[in-house]
Amino acid sequence: MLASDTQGLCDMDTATDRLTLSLPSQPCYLCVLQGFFGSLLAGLRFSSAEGMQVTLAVHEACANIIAHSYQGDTAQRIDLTVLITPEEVVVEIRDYGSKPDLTAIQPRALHEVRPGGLGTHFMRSIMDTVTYDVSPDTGTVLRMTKRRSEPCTSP
Amino acid sequence: MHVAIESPHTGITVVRPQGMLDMNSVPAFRQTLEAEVHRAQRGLIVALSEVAFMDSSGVAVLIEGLKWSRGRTLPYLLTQLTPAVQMVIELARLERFFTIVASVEDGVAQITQAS
Repeated sequence: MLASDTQGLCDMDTATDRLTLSLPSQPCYLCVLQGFFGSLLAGLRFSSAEGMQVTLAVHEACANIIAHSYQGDTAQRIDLTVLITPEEVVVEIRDYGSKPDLTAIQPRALHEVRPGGLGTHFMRSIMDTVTYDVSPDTGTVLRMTKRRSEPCTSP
Repeated sequence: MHVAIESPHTGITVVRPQGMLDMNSVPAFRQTLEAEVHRAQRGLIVALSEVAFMDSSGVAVLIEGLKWSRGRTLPYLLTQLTPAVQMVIELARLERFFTIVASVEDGVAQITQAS
């Protein structure tokens, strides 16, 4: 996508804008997130670094869902909803698998240099808020927000 | 994912992953990296200039590579980090855990001087 294609997104009336994306729970489809969030966040005038970081946080969240909520079952679905407001971007990630043990979701201590446990640390470091809603009958809604450095104003 | 294997100097192996280094590609890359760590004689350099995206599973396999190398007292260097790779290593606060050099040539010089 050309840069000019997304340059005007920030000037839209973003108060209620809502985008959805549904992915099969297959690792090979996580690459879709790079294009989707990269273009969207550039259009919303997030910096390149912020765009890469938010994409990484969403990627980690979806990878955790495939690995833990679905335990590698590739026949399931991950539904993403992106809410765009002048102040922030909200990403809701819905799965229909086993619910996480919220007491066990902890970023690992960084002085322990070992594989594993970094994904949760990345999500919490990058995003302004990370919350888990386990109230649905099936599955979980992970909600992450990223505030804009400068609020976006409508024309 | 394609992984190019180069040998710019006798006994030194350069492993060059290309594409995304994430949960989809890491199992295959892990096998290649482990085999090359055990095959290299003087040192191993992981060149990351063609990694467009890396997640926590990618950095985890780089950590594993270092630990396998330490088991053999084999020099293990990273080079040519893209912004995406640099970001993940900084978020994980691993800048000082890895030995990072500017280029493959610098890595070869460091390894040959040390051995």
